[in-house]
Amino acid sequence: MARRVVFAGCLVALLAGVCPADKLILIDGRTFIGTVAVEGDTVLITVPYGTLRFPKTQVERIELMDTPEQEFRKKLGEAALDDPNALYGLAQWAEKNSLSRQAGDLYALVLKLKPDHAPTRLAVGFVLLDQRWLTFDQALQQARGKLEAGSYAALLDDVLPALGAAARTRDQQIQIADLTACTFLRSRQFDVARQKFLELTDKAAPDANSMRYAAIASILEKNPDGMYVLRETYPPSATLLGDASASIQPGPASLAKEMVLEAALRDLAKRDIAAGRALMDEAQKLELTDPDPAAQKYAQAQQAFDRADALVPDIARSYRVEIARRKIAAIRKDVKDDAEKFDQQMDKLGVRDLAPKAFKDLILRMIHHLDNTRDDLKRVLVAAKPFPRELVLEIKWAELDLARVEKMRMILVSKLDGRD
Amino acid sequence: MVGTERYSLICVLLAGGLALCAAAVGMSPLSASSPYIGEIQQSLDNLDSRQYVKAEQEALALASHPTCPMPRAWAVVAAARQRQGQYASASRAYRLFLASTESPAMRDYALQQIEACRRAAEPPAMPVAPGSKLDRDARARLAEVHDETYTESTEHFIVRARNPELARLVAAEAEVSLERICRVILAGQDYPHSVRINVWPDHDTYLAHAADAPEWSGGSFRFFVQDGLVTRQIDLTQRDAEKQLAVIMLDRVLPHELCHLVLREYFGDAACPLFLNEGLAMMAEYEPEAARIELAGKVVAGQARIALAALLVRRRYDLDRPGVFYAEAFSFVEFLHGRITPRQFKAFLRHVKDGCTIADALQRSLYAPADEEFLASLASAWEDHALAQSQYIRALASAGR
Repeated sequence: MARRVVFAGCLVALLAGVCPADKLILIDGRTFIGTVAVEGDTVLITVPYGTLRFPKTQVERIELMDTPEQEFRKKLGEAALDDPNALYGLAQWAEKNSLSRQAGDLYALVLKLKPDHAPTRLAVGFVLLDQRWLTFDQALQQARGKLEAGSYAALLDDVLPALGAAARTRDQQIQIADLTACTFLRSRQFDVARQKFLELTDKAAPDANSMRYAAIASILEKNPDGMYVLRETYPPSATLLGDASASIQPGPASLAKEMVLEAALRDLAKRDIAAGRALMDEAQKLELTDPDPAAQKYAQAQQAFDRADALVPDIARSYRVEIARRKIAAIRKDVKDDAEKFDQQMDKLGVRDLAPKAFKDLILRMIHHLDNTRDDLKRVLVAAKPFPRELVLEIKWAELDLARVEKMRMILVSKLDGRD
Repeated sequence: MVGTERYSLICVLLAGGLALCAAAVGMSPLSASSPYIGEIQQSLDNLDSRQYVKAEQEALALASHPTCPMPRAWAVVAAARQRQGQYASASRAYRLFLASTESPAMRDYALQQIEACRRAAEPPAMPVAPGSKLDRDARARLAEVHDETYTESTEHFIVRARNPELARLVAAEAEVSLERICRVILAGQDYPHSVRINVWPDHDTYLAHAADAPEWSGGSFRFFVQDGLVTRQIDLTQRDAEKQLAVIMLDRVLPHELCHLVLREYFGDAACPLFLNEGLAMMAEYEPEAARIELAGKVVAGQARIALAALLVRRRYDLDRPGVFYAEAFSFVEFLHGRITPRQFKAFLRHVKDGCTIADALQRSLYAPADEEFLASLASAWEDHALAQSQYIRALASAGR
């Protein structure tokens, strides 16, 4: 009884939203499917994206026909609702005819009838791993576990192909490609791994991940035998913080080891940091005399730090903070200049007997300086926002000043309005 | 056309040669672009699992292969030998690796390791305190105060004292200390300057001449610019209250004040944190003071400690517990100096000079990713070290008794 109620509910859901359709064929051969209406000499057809109007003279003929929804409705009426294979077939048909909601509902219906219906499980993105149906994310997690456990053959022969078939979105495909490349690397097939990382560079969006993939491919190209020579202990703070047991000593090591690859990436990041620092030094020299070229240098330095951070997350953070500090210092200089100009105007208010127009002009000039200051303080907040921990004082300071500026502005505006 | 044919023939010959070479080492021609992958990886695995003899043998076979030698394998041979303590043969392997590589980074690595092997084979002698080299007669002679003031000059020092032998000794020891401070403690700083050292006969004369020197001090330094002229000066005391030679002046005060002077010059207008300034100056002294190490261990284990975060920002005028501060400053700086490489320490000093916080300067010099918990982890590691050092000193004292 309960099962019937469930199916009845599902059918109502499946049949919801189905509407009739007509076919409008124009003289020039264009065809539209929707609901046709006639208004005088104009033929209207309502399609999913709006209503189109054509003069009667352009219309070849109008045909009444079934829409995919109507056809689906007929097929559903004829299908055996307790036959998982029949429902699966109909779901496939619905999917082909862009009725994804109906297909999804039918797949759910099939799994209620037969939870291990393999084609349906596959169709909805499940992966069969070790005789168990897993969601894509569960399967991915299990695959990562196999990578850590060193089950490379199982991964390459079974798990990754199954996951690849189940990957629907671009993100999922990239995750699988990443895992595949890592598996080849760990299983010491360095040349194949290099090719896979290179493919990933093109596949991934041009972001931090893509830079990282390109860097790994270049490391493997320079070290085709998979040997990398570490120049320092890795992780870098292991000796200082007393965790030397889990570290790698300087010397040759295999890139198949995760930590060795990390160390190689860090070496590349160090170069970018050195380049960024050199640009910062150049910018500092230009700051006072040529602020625009200095800003360009800082932007180039930021790019170098972006590359470094793509290879080792947050390795360049303190340099970014320093750039933000320098920017804030430069903005603060502007704030100070405006504050001085404001004070000068303020002094005039106290000592000179001003005509109403001159008084109004003076107030307007003061408001102008305050607005400049307010804009500068907002720039300070924008520059400091990514570093709330490191630049807490700069943020607090700007917020307090901003509140003061707003108060002063209100007082000045009230003077202009003659409210005070 | 003829040229194209020739080119094709060369390509065929080259490909054939490559295949032959691969066949000679039992590999498929497909992997001929980087032969011996399996073999070199095997030797790396053995190196990693401390099977140094095996790793060395396997890598040596690749490096000296009769038909297709693999020069990169010398790096494995060298590392395996170095880790077995065979420094001379490791050095030879590093030289062969050096000759085979054009990469500046790899050349730098090889040279560093050759130097490391040299140091490991011949560890530098521990510095000996000058006072311990003086016998009773020498001390008596050096405690004499003559009427005349004698001047002694060396490369970096002009020493004035009322005893010619003492002037010579102080000048020589100042050079030794300067070399140690610049090369070992400050990891390779230059000091191309000249310093005036005045050795005053007693404490009263010293106080009368050493401007701004605290009453309790037995030595001080001055660095000032007047009319464009830089003055670098150290004032010392020759004799203690019992009119004996103040040996502490040679063993502690001179290197301590000299280190302050070098740091003053290095930091210029930038502020050198007090703990770093005092910590390094104490490190420059001969033979670390056991009481200081013991106190540092005791306080970090108890309630009286100055927490690391506070220690790093203490200034001279807010020292409520100077004894604890000096003990902790020495312990922490000695810990840092011992745990990071000289290059990293040099970079650390530069970052501090550039205005970084200590945590940022350290993370920058290590090229470590920014970590909010870094200072807490550092404090924990240092406190463990301070405790261990303190226990070691106590154990030594017990064994001595």
